[in-house]
Amino acid sequence: MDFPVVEVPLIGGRMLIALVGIIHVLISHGCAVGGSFFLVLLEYKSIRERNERLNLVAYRLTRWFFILTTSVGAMTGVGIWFTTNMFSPVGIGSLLRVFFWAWFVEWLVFITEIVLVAVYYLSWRRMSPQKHLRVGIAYILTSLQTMIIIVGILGFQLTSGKWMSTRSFWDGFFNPTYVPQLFSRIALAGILACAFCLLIYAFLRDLRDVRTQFLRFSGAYLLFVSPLYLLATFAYYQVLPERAQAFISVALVTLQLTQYAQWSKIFFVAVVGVMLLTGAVLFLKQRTYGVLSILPILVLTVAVAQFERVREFARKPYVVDGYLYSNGFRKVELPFISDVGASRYATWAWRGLDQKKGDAALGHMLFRLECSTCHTYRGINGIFRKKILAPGEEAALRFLNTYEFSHPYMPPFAGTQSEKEALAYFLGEGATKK
Amino acid sequence: MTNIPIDIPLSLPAPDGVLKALLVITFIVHILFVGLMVGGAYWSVIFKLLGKEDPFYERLAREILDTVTINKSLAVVLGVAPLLLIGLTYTGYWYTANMMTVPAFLSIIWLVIFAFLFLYAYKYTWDSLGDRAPFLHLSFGLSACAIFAFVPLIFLANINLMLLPFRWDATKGFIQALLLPNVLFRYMHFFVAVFAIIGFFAAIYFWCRGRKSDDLFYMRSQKLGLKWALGGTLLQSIFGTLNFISLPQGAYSRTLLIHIAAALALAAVACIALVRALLTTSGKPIVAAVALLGVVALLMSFVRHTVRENLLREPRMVANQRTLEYQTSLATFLKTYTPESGKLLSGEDLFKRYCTSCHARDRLLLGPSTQYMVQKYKGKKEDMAAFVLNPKKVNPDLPSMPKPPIGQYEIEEIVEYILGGSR
Ligand code: HEC
Ligand code: HEC
Repeated sequence: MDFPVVEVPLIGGRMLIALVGIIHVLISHGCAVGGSFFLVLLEYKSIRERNERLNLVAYRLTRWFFILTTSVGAMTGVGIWFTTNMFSPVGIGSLLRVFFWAWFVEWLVFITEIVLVAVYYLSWRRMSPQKHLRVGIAYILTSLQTMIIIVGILGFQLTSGKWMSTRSFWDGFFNPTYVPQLFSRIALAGILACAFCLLIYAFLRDLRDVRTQFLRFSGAYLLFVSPLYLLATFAYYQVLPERAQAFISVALVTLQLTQYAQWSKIFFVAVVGVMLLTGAVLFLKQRTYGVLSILPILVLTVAVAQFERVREFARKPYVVDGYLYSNGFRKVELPFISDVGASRYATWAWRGLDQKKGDAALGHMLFRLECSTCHTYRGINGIFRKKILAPGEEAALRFLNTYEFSHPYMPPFAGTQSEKEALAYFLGEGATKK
Repeated sequence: MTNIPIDIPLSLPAPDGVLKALLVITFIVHILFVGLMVGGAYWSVIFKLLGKEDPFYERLAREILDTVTINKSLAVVLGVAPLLLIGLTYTGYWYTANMMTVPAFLSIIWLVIFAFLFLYAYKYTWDSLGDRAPFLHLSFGLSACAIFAFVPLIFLANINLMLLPFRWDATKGFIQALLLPNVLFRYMHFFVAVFAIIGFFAAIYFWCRGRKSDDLFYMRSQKLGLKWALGGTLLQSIFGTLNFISLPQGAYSRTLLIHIAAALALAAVACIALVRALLTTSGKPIVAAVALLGVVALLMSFVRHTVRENLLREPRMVANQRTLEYQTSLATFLKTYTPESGKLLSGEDLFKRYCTSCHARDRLLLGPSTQYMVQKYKGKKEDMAAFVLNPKKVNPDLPSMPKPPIGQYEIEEIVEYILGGSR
């Protein structure tokens, strides 16, 4: 709780994390994991049918996957560490202490994966086809392992399950959402890879001669993988804890649009629909349509953004379910902080503020400390633009008194009565000043 | 001085010493590949420039660039473990330093992505652009090198800042962190090491590749590598010394001096081995030099570790003091604290808790007044309960009401209170 406060103007820290996260998921799922099945399958097909040209397609696609995985994919992976550390140091610091060895093993697997990608790509023409395929299979296996590990950690944040009472690593790891989330992600990775390939293939003009075979293969592949994705994702929604389910509505759109909540599931059906349709058209017609090269990847980008947003939101107000709030306060320490005051242990949040300004400064400090993880001032989720605070200080105080119950996706206010009043003063002043 | 963070109240996943040893080891491997990446990129540009005169250099530039493709990816991936470990063992210090320089720190990601893409562009347009638009082609490589020149500065600023908590108050951001005493000299120390590393690598790599071939290229590049390795190692007698004397106050201790002395002696022997390697064609002196300098690297990493521990000794006392105070106060408080739970709240209390942020008795807040509710729902308690449990859009001028987090018992009490009490 006592770290420097990092504020990102306008878009806020969460949006920044989301941007890095979405790019990372697209590349790491799509190119690294999904790419392993799609490309190795394509290579296998080309070898079995002795189709040199198709083999060349697989090779050229692999080059792009290799470039993306080793630059954008690897760096955004590190980037997620960098960014989340900055916005929830206590959260990541705590997760590290529980999961260090899982991450360490993930790291070893990840090194293997990168080496295998490199060998798979760089040795394409230099190895005998059989040997090369074997490298491909090793690559598939390692990339699956990276998923197996990371899903355990992600799921833990959402449903810490028995870990809360036993504090044992395995209880945290194999929690209730584990299996469905794993399958959902693997299937998503599979579809993404195909979508990337369709896009890249559109630019490989000199390889148009094998498009019948390539598109038929992609079509069949989509028709097979998309239903798996649908099934796994629905199973996942089924096991999301009650609490989370109630909030999904707010995650998808803003509070004002809650009535579209049901659309969340319909949306996923639509995404899978688009994929199946694309698959069917490609399988039957085997023609390149401009839209069919670009549409799948666009739709999937939105779907990934949505999926991650739901996951992120489902765990609000916690970083670790039931243990640690998003703003770095632990659940058990809240009554204590409310008793002694949040100012007592806060030093960094004061930086740059003039303490002599009284309530305005104290309120601002408390906002930084407790709210700025999720709120900006006037940008995305901007606090001063909230209708509920618009009437001013009095309304703000009323809000602070009760939001713990009416808005349970935010961590409860931690602080004494006079601190609460100072925050209300700060919020009221900002919200009324246009 | 109270802004040194309180420790996170969960135990470490392994003894502190084990984790720190792991940090030192994984970091050496990481920095080795960073050296190969940065040094390789610089070589591929420098020798491409020289290649106009002499095709030998052109070929060397290209072959080295091929190795960068893999080495750079490994450099990044290998960096993850030391990143996790430093977060684990120096949590408060490392996070705080990064957060103080956050724009610079986060820019590392995008900068390095661009550097990598530039390197790919440099590599894959070597034939197509190299002759047609040599300037453009070279600019890809140069851009990557420029980024590689800048990024280490960010890391070095943060590492220094992390070790000087007593300066945190006076340091406002990245630029000021750059001016901390040790940063610039350590930067030079790093870059000289990078050129020594790539020289070594080239010597070994081309020696291996050339064993079964009588192509003179391999012999010549091996010798060139050895010269860079020797030059870099010798130059460290200047830059290493500058780095050493610019260490902040409190960094020095006796173990530190002993280890440095040992490292210097070994480095001197390694230089002799390098000279021998230059004069003969046998691989043995190279192997000896590599082994010796490996040990030197290990000793130096240990020296860095000692510096960290020495500098953080006092800050840690402050942090421990704060953590202890905090934890005992919390424990004492929790002993007497009983949460209000299980208590059944009245309809009025529940209404205050769950509804008053949006509803008042007689005026419109975010949602309509309770007077309106009474008018609309008098005698229709079930309907109102159904609405509240599952709000639908009613008035197009108002936002929608979110689903409140309450169940059957609460809703009955609340509806009873609103419709009954307002009568
Ligand atoms: C876990 C992240 C998080 C934290 C921390 C947080 N909020 Fe929020 N807050 C949200 C989200 C998400 C919304 C809903 C945004 C939307 O409507 O789209 C919200 C909405 C609000 C609203 C508008 C509610 C309404 O009914 O329209 C107010 C006011 C508010 N927050 C105040 C605060 C204050 C004050 C704090 C600090 C004490 C705080 N929040 C801390 C996530 C957070
Ligand atoms: C975050 C703000 C918020 C909270 C908290 C809230 N409401 Fe509402 N409520 C609204 C809004 C906005 C409307 C108007 C909805 C509309 O017209 O679509 C509304 C409308 C209503 C209506 C009138 C529906 C109609 O038929 O016109 C009732 C009854 C109601 N709320 C009851 C409650 C009760 C009971 C609670 C507490 C358990 C509660 N509300 C909590 C915002 C809220």
